[in-house]
Amino acid sequence: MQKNIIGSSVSQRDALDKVTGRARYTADLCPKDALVARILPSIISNGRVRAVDLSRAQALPGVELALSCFDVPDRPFPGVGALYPQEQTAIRDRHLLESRVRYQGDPIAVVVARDECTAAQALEKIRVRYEEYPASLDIQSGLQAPGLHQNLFSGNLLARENLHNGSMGKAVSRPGLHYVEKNYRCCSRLNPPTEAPSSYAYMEGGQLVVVSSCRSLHALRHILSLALGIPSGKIRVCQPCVGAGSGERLEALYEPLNAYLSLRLNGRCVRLSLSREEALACSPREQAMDFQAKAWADEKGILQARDMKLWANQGAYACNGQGIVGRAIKNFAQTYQDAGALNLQSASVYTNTAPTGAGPASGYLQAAFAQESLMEDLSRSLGLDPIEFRRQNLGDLGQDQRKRLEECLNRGSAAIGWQERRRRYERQLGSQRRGLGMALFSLGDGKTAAPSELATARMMLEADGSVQLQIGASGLEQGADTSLLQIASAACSIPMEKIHVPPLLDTAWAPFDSGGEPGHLSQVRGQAVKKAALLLRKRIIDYAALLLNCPADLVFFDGRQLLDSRNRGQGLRLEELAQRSYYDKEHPLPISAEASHSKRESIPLCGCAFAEVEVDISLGQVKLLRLVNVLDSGTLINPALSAAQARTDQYRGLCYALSPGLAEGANLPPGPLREYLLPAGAEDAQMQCIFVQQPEPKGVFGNKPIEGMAQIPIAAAIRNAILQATGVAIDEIPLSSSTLLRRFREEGLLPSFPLKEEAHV
Amino acid sequence: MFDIKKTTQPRSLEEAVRALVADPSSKCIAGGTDMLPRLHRRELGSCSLVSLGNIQELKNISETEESDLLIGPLCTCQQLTREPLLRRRLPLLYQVFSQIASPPIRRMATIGGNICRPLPGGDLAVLLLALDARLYIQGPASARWLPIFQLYQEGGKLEPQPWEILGRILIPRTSLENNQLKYTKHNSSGPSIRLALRLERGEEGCIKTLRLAIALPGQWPCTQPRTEAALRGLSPAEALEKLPQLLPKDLSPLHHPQIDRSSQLQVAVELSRRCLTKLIQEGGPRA
Repeated sequence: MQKNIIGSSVSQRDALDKVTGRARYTADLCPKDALVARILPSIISNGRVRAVDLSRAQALPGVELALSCFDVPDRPFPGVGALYPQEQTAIRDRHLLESRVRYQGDPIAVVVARDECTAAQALEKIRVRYEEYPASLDIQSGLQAPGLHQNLFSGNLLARENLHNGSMGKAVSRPGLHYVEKNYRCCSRLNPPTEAPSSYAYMEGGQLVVVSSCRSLHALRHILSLALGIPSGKIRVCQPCVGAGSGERLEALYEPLNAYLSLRLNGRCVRLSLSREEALACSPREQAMDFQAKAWADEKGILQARDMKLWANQGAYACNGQGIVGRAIKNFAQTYQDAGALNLQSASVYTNTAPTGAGPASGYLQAAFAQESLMEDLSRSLGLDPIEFRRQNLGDLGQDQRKRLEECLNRGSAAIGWQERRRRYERQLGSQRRGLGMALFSLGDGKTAAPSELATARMMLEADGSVQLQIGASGLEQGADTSLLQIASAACSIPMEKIHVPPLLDTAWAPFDSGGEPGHLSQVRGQAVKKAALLLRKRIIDYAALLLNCPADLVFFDGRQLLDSRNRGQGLRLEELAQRSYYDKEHPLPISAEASHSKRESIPLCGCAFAEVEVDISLGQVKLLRLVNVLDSGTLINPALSAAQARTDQYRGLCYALSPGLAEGANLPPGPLREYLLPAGAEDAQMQCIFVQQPEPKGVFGNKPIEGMAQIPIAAAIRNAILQATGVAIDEIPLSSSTLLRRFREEGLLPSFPLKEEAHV
Repeated sequence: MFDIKKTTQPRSLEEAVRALVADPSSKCIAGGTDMLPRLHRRELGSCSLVSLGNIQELKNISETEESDLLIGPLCTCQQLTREPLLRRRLPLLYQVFSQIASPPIRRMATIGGNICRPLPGGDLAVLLLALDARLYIQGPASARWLPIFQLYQEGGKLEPQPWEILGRILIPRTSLENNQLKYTKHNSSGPSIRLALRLERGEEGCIKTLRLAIALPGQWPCTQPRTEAALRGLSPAEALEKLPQLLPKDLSPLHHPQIDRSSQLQVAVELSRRCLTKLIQEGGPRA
């Protein structure tokens, strides 16, 4: 086995294509004469479309087709682009076009025209009559409102998960307990992919072909089949390069509508690309969550009981977000333990806001903010060191996980200078103050494995001795093409530069891959590649044994040549063997290998973040000075790629913590992208990610799925640093200037100016 | 996707005005950094464009005989940061322009566009307001000079008619010589609050002239005449003490989803106070 390729920072296979602009994305590949489809979004948040007048749009020269929500089949389908496409778990709450409007942006009509201008002009000529209902934009009003999906659920409660341990009454009645009661709040966050969603569809060879930037090839085909009512064998889905680095575009957006339009136009090629504004308005986002938390601890700082209620804003459609509250709840229960009792209740609620979805860290991200803020507030009320307090209350993580978490904490606090700086930043005065904060996370105990994540890999030895690797979905970081090539090379011994993986995937040949949580799936995909590569190696050796007339176990193979180990002089190069496998007169036998792997157990993972900030109280500004992440990463297959991924995740964590999010009820497209910036105050921060590389026995080559994980503890670490600096606890994300200034006013750190009546705009 | 009916490329200011008068649906385009995204979003529907790019007189930078500065509105941000005359006479421009957007945008965006469409990136308008700049407005029949503070009218309107064109920007010598100037903005990820302050000090360092221009989210940038008048003649220490009391009464922040009204006041007052403190310190006991 060519082991040294594991842990080597080979450069990304498609790096040159990406940086030179040579890489071709969906919109680059679309035929220039394709017809153009544009969607008319609803301008109300809740209600019904009563009538649509398309006549003026249809009369416009160049318009090929105009359809309203009354002209498409009433066939519900799920928007889930990932997880489990089986009907029993995927919620079929979407239609090609919606007559029951559930958020501002719901598609209600569509036009297809010869070019973009004509399509846009046609949209402006459509007249719509609505019946409008009151909109519920936040969680509480969603709970009270009539059900948005009455054929599926009576109310708006989509998913609910509870967990109870011990007797709460008994646990909290002990005398002398310290008690903290808080409401924590996380706002919604957009995860806009770099590449705006785009697709085109046409008929060819009796099949419907859909080319899309959706990253779940096979799941999308399944959704298309449900939405269009045609067997999936009649559908071919292709996925070129996708500009989405951190888990976006797993869901189907308008691909089913796009495909339907092509069918209606006898298979002519129709393109449906979203502008940036359209994409921001409809792309699934991170769920907003409210936490009502109570916690009790005794004098010694032993956690006695916790009572948490968690509500998540699901938005108008389930997408793939219904399992997220469950993730959050499990995380609460596992990370820390309560000596007395634990009471957890959670629910996600349909509202009239844009749909939410699941990214790699969804649920964990929100839970970490609430949990690590609560632990901080409790340790502060007890006057204990936050790390010590957390340490003595850690849950039953298992021996190994606990050791690794300890190491993460030790290395992080050493890197940031925890003891010394915490002391230095005590009791400051003035407007500018510094603080240090930390937060940790711990995921997975191996029992939460979902049943149906499956990946398949296929490898073929070409006549020139090179190898084709075929996989069924593109992944991130540890599961990205380059890492998979490293895994393949390590397992079959053939040098990496001789293994090729096509950038464009096509269900016509791509082996099945269920799609799913990016992190976990990269692991499953990696295992499948490893199995296929080992099988390929075995078949190469078997064939060599046949040609060399030598027992297979005596064939020596170093990836370049095959030798009879009894007589090293006798052998053949891999190229020779490959050529003979195709053209040998006696034994032609092309060599290929295919293997699948399904997920049996999830891999535990932990880490922490330390943040040092400077707060300018009078201006409500937070300047991040240093950020240290420590990740329990297992063996890194490609340290450079992992470092890049971790850096991206750090930025995502910073955005989550600091960037203005979507205000409560902000349902509208959030305006131009220029208002959605990387957080100010983080430009000059020193950022560092330390990897604790303990080989993971369940990993492909000792690795772990760390995609998206570094961001989890960042928001709480920054919040806790602000708390140390100013003594003010900010209990909501984002930690924006506006929130900080309001809290500083509330705590008397800043004066309140009298406000004049608001001027008329 | 641009729904443009027609584009004309006049060679003089007068010709450009005639083109605007001839077709009321037409709009001027200069650098295009604001216009093209708006066209892309179909905010202007289908329209004709009058491109100002070929009018050489709009690209000049010079000095009048009275040593006032004259800047052509078609100068790009990048050009302004490189112009030796401006670097010598108004070095702050470099600081302001090097903070605007990104290098490709700075290569295209013009000072005229920045003045006429100051939201949300119009970093320059506050500076020109603080400098008492005057604008040369060319209409079909005549041309006139307009003080910049009159440009921004209530209800989000501009004073000139849609068929008039900004021909020149004049910065008076009296705002440049013996004056101190400071520009700052709130470093937040949300909508930014920008501010420019010009200070001229008289006898014993007291405040002779003070111009304070502030841009709050969702509003035209404007000067604060009442605060300015009330601080005139005061000693630096008195002015610093009075400023936080006077300014909140002058400002009317609007509701904004990302920054509440009280916070806007807090930031505007604090930034003004810090700017004034710095200018006073830099100027020494006697400017």
